[in-house]
Amino acid sequence: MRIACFTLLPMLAAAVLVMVGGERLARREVESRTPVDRTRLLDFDEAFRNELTRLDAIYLGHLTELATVALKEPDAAVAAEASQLLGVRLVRIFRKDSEPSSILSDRKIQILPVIELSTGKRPLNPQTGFVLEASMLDRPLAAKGKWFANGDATYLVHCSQPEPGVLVAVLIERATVSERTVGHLLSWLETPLTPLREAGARLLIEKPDGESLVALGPQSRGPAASIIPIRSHLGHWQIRSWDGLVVTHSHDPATLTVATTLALLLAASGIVLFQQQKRALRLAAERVSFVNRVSHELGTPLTNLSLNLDLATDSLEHRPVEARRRLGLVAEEIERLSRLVANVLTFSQRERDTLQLKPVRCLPAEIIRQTLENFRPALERRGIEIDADFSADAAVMLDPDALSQITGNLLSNVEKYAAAGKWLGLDCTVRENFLILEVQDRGEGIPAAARQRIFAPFERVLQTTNEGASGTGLGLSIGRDLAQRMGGELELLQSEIGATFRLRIPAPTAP
Amino acid sequence: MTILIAEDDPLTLEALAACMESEGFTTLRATDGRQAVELWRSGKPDLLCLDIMMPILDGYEVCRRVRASDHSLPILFLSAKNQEIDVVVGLDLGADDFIRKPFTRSEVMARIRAALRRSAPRDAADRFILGDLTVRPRSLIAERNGKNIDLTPREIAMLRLLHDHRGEAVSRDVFLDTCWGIDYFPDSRTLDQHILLLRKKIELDPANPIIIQTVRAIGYRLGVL
Repeated sequence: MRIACFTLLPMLAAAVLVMVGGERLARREVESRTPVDRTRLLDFDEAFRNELTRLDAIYLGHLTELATVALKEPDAAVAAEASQLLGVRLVRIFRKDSEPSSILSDRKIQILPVIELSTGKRPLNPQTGFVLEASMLDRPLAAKGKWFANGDATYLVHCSQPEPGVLVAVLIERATVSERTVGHLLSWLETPLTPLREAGARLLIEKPDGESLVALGPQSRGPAASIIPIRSHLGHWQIRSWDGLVVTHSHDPATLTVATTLALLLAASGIVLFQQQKRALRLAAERVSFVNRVSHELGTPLTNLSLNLDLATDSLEHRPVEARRRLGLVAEEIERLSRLVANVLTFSQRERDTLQLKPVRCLPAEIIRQTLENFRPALERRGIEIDADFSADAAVMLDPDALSQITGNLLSNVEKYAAAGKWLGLDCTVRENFLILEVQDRGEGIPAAARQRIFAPFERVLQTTNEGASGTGLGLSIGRDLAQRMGGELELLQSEIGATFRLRIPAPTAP
Repeated sequence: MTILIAEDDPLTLEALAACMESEGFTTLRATDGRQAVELWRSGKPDLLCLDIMMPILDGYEVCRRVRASDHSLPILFLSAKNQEIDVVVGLDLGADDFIRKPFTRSEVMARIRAALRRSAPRDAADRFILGDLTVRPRSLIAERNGKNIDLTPREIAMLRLLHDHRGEAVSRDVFLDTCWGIDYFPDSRTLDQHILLLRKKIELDPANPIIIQTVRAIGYRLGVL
């Protein structure tokens, strides 16, 4: 998993990036516009305009009525009437020959803009108050009166003339009226907007304060295709509409193909790199393990050499027989070390492809017998009975060292792994120019799952550290390799008890 | 003193046993883990030398089983497994020491003596005095002026024999029967060689021995009280 972090994952991430980037590059955006249905838009405009005019007219009627009441009724009644009318805060009455009077709709309201005639003695700030022309008292006003707005348009003043020489100015709080108007319009708009909504129009109705009242379709962007302004006494409204916009996406096949190919190449390179790195790491681990095993294999014979040499030295003077026996054991251990070194050397030569076999005239039975004799003391110490049959006495052409090495490895395996069977069978014959050597034991045998694996380098039947015997895992691998290089084969035969290995190599009769 | 050796390589097992017996230890030999556990139960050894890679039960498992019921018995691993992790596992299982192969006779014997010394009880009963020398048999040492002298079980046995026969000459036959066993037939010079080595260790002047004195034609006797 850690290797994947350095190879596979970055390469896959790069592949994904290339794919995403390629898709972006290949993407083409096509916009098609459909203009708003003008008939429906104008129908709606007319309906909306009529509704605003109707509201204006209703409100104006109430204001006219209030002006009439203001002249006839006492102040208290006027105040009550004014408080009933939406947004009215103050009623101010100007008469030609008397001082103006004010009636508050609500006594709690303290700060209100001032309404004065221009002949007033005090100068007024037009930003905070309303200054009416004094001439308005003298000339007749239109029946629907006259509207004024203060600087920040928070208040409106409606002036009317219920009778000549009298001017009634009503101060109206605009926000209150607007709020009620918006509330009404929101419910009123549902029906008149339906045709436009069905036509998929993109539309927005803007309130007098610039905020949106209603929006249809996707959020509008950019300048509107049409703006219809609507003026009323209570504010200026706008109907903004945009053309219908349909965006379609397509991809450029050439760019997409290049991006996909690049991404696939990157991903494939990542996978190949990952597998190679994994293989390299496995090989490195095997080599480290091999070095450990070899050093481990050296430990026991070196210990035996050291102990036996010490014991032989002790006995040399007074117990020469014992000293000779110890030196014999030393020779045996040197033989064991030689086999180990030979295996390591052969493996190394094979790795460097410098292994060469030299067939010479030799007696195979003699070579195998000698190898067996070298093993005899070790086998007998482990209580292994030896049953050997040699019927290959003729001189043949083959590499004696290779034959000795293969035989030694097979016998060493019996000593290490099959001592429990207490028996070794060795059969050597020459038939039809082939030397056939069978080595049998009655040990635990080799499980079916491991029958092929055991011929691979560094492989052993048991790989755990707790196994009973040690080994480099090279013996059978080298044995099979040497056999194949000689034009033959080393194989594991089916057997009911233990294991049977058969070596079959060409052995042409020597001239 | 008895040492149980568990080792699957017959050559190593035999050579180790020979080294130990030459110093006067008695040995019990096992070639696999199961045999080692059985011999530990029946033979009551004073120390265990275990190989790790053995058939049936490995050395770790033997150590685990022994430690389950005996926390003080000295256990030494002698193994060709030389990775740091192998040593750590062995010591964590309760072993007293880990000797990596290849090792020499002097190294393994010194470590065995050290392990026995560490585990020996430091009580007054475990000692006898020869002049200015205090011998501690279970610790395999003799002390003089605060300095320790390493001794083998056979050397301890020889000193004890002389101590038990204070004022008497001990014949060569008694020496050989007591310290080597009646079944052992050592060379006639074996005893003289051992006495020579022992004098080198314990005498202040080996050329003029005071503790072990020679009695011509008979044997030896203790020269101090």
